[in-house]
Amino acid sequence: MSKFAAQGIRIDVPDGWEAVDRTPPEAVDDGSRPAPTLHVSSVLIPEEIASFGGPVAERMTSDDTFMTLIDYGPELAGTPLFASEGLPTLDASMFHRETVLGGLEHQTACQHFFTYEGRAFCLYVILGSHIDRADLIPKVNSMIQTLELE
Amino acid sequence: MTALVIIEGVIVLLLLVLVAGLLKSHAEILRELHRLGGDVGSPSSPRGVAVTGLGEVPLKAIDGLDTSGQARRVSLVHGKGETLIAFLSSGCSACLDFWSELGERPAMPTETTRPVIVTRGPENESPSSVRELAPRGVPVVMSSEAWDAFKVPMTPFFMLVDGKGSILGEGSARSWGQLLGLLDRSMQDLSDPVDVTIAPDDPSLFANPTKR
Repeated sequence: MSKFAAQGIRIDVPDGWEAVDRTPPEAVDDGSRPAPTLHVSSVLIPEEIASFGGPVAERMTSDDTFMTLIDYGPELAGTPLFASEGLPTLDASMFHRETVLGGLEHQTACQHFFTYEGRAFCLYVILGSHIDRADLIPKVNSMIQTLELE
Repeated sequence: MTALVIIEGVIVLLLLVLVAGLLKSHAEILRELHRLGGDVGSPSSPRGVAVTGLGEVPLKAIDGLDTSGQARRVSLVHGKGETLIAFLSSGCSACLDFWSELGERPAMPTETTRPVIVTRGPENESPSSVRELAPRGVPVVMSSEAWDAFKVPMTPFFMLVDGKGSILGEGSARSWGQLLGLLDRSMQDLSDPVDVTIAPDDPSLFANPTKR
């Protein structure tokens, strides 16, 4: 693993995986800052990609993983949606086939909201195989536990 | 008359020394060019091209900034197809065709090749110029660290890397077609190495070096 840093977020990325800062560059209409958005993936990340992975799922094989981490900042920290405190540890029961946005039938995904160090986060993870999700989750959990905020 | 002959002899001698010196320096230049991978004197070979296709990449991934100034990591050792790294510059006229060509989804050395453009970092390259030139759909990473690690000798410069990080071919070219030809030849060379192994019953294994 080696550290990837962007937008005040640092996370260890496994060897062979890609990472990209996809924070929307344009200012939000109401004057608030764009939410820092990081993509980390074992599949090659295309140039055109939506916040939650867009076309990536179609390119994933059964042993691939794609992760989006969105930092909604301190304003939403601790609100009901982000009530879960601390870095999450994902388990198989949190993944559902229907949570995959534009993916394939055998894939699975999890969306989890949490607050960490006074900032609100959304974590969205797509796994290449629902059946084999238990084999893929540990690597994601290891990565999440390395999250550091500046 | 004798003096004239002596003077003429001295002049001839000086000319001989001069010619010998010129030949020697010319030979040194040719030797140096050959060492650098040039191919002077062979009209059939493309000039300014050096294809070696050996070794491993110095970095497993290229870390840098994209054209929006946002952090980006492109993995080279991902086990999924090949990566064609195009080291381009916004100010190099020979690069212009490659910037535009890459946006037109040109033929790749293999069906599983993904192109990636790498420029120097924003401290040594114009981000706005790179943004204007960057073709849609092709990752662009601005990274002086990568540039230095790969010891990029010139622009444009290309490197084809397999999913394990082995360099399949590298070099420079004037056109996309020429580049494909070079990389194809390099890959053929790699897949058809010279057999230097010694068979179990090779006579050399039974030779007695002390026996004359």
